[in-house]
Amino acid sequence: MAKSNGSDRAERRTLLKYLGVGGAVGLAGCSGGGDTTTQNTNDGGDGGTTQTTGEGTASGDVPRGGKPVIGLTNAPRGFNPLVISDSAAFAIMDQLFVYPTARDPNNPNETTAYGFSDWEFDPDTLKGTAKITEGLSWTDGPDFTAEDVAFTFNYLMENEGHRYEGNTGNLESLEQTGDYSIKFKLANETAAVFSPDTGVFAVPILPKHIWKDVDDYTKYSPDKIPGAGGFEWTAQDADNWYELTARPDAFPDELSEGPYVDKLRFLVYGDMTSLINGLKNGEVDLTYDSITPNRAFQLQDSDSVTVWNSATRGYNYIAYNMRRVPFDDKAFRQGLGFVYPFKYLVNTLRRGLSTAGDYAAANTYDPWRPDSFDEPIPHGPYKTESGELDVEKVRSFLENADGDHTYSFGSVKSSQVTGDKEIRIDGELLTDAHTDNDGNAGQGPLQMMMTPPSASPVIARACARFVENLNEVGIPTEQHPVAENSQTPLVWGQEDFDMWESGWVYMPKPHFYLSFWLASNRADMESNKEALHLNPMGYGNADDLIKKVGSTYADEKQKQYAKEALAQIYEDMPALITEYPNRLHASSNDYDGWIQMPGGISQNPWTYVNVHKKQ
Amino acid sequence: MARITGRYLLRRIGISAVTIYAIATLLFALLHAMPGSPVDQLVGPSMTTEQIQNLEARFGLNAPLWEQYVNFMTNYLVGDFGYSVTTLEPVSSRILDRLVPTLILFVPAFVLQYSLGTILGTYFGWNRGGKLDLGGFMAGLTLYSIPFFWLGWILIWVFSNQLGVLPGGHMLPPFVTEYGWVDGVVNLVLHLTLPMLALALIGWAGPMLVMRTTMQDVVDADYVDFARAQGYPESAVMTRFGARNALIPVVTQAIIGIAFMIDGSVIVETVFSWPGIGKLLVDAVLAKDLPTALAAFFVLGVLIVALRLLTDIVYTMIDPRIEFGGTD
Repeated sequence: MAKSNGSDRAERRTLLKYLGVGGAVGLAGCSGGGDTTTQNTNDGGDGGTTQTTGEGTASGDVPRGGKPVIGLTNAPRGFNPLVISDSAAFAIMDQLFVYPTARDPNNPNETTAYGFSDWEFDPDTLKGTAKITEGLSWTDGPDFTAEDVAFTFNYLMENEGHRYEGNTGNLESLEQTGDYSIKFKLANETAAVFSPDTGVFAVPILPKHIWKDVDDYTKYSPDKIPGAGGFEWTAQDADNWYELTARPDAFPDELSEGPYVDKLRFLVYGDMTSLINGLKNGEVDLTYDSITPNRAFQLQDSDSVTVWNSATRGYNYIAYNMRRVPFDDKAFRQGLGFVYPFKYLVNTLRRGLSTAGDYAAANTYDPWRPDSFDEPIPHGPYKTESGELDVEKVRSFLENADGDHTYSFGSVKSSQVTGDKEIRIDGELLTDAHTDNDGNAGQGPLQMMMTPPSASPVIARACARFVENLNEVGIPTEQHPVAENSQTPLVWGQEDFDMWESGWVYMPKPHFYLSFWLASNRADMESNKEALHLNPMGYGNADDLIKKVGSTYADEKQKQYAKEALAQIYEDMPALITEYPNRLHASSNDYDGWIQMPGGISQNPWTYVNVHKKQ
Repeated sequence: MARITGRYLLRRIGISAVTIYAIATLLFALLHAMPGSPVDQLVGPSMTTEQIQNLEARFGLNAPLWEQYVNFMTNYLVGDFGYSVTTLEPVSSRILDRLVPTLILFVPAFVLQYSLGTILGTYFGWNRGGKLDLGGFMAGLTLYSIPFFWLGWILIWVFSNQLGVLPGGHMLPPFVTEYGWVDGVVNLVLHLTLPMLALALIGWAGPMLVMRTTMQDVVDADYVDFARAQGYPESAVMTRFGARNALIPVVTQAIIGIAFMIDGSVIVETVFSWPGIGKLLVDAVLAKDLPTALAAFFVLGVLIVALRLLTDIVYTMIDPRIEFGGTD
């Protein structure tokens, strides 16, 4: 691959070397410079880092001009940030809206200034203050001030059901104290206050002069939007293309001396194949979405294209329905780890562009992950060293497990089984012992709910191999392809599944999301409610640890709690984390300055203010 | 005497209306048979049950089923397809926005494939067994077997990637906001060429095969011999006496062809990033935007029913022997 992946820091050094003067200097203001203000951004998980802001380092060498084209594979589904959860829409909106803080491009595990220039928080009193970055202005005229910030958060606190409720739900009050200052108080302890993506303040600041007239946000559907960022919305052909014009004079140099390009263009394609074709033809300069390994390997031979191999922030997993026999037994769930074809997935299907999974936290978040399987509690590993199926090892593990059920292997009765023996659970055939959510036995072979191969070929092939392996071991299992759209109500609404493959693409640091889908308050334990629940497994054994992680602001303590929670979750195995697939993006060689972060080069605001024509 | 009576026409319109009603009912049933709720796309994990119920109320999903059905049918009757659950825009305006590009692609492709297929089918049928007939027949069968998306990619690869003579996608050059009249038409034609060819090159084989077969039935007919005996040139005998009488099955086949082409246009619009109703349908299904998807299906269904009705009327024009409703 053109850009290899390694540790974050090594990766960053490589990138800066590659970017040369433009990349390193263009964002210098984000990491320090002349009139620096040093402050502790001990923002629960941000590593007790030193945050510096100040005037940017001047750079006269970065060429200005150009109109890079970002290729999208679907048309944006609207531009109301409180409702839309579509990545194509946010590709555009994120260049217009300003967020209080952002990830530091020089160290993605740290937080840097954006809409807020300075901030403080006292975890004892739960009170804090923030200064608003001066010099920003809305594209339709007014200055960006504390009035907008105060309005945004109070609007979000007054309204329910929007996509930022999880962020602002812990905010008790927020007031404007000056033209460029606010104060706030939280309702409860929290680990993430100023963290980008996940913190209380990880919200796009709305223009008060527009949104004060929006009584019902659920009915608000603007055709175009004003912003306070480095770009201004100037033209569109809805569902086909969108054009933003750079406004470098309205973007404080303290943040960046960019944008360097004249315009930023977004072009909608019918599908990824069409988009790749556009990249080869020179119509497109960047694929916004991650591409598959096969496409990446095809493109790397092209002289005009660079493929960026970035660490992921997410992971794929197979969730188990813990209400049902045999998934109600930890030992059985652990045993399935020895059956999963890790090597086949990583080496064959992903061609090495992925890492076998274990913890519910990507390798990117290494400081939060347990240091070994022995610490802080012994927890496996529940997979073979080679990542390949070892039938005898699985059978032996289950037969000797001290679980809620006893397992033995006898003659084959089920047609699905391809091995020489079939499993018994407490002396019964699995097909007889297997229950539904109400405890009714005799549910037949296990069902592996998966996205159909046509929609997700790599994952489908991995699932198919997993099912083959299960049947070879003697655990009768069938594939159960279900269209992705139908999975949500079945799994999150009705909990009607045995095993379900899915994945998270953008996971923030573990201190936030563990409570997002691995805590019992996100589960319908009895499976008798209609509402959607992000914890379909019905898992709740790590609640106390997760709560400690989420309410601990002190950095080292919080990381230690995160390690304990992740180890406990791995030990309980409510879901098998199968892989951390790399994020692959392709860019044309006409432009330089893409910023690589965990998650890729396309989905961070710095990449667009820093991109420039190649020198 | 008129070849089609008012009474017959009214009956056909009535049957078409019942068919459209049945389509709408079927769509309503499908909507409620699908797992989950149409508002699932708007439901966030942080929403309470009450908030979800409020959302359902806003989309009228909390009313009794019969009331939902009555509302659904009444709204569809007046072209009110509700609101998209992804963009929050009225579905009717989304459909209208996308219908025009689809018609721009669909109509010329349809005309091209039926003109080409009928003319070549006439010639092949008239000269059955010749080299051109056999070659054309084989070419037609081969193209007919090719999937739309595959032919689309081949055309893009040859004419856009390799030769660079035609654009490989979109309806107009992107990022241009104003065109002169001539520029606009020229660009539209250039962008239209490949997707239209993708549809027509596969679609022409259908009418060609039907026309070729029916021409064989008329080639030895008495009235054809009689026309020759009257001294008409062979080309006139073939077209005026042979082809005209062989056209009826082609017209019937055109109805199937329309459905086939709509199916193809969904794929071709995706391959060529053509912003039509087929692409909207794909996007809506993928986004689980059921109001939009159902309306798109409905509009396409109405289109087919309307064309079926039109075909019955056209029958009487192309074959003087046909009378509808004359003996009723």
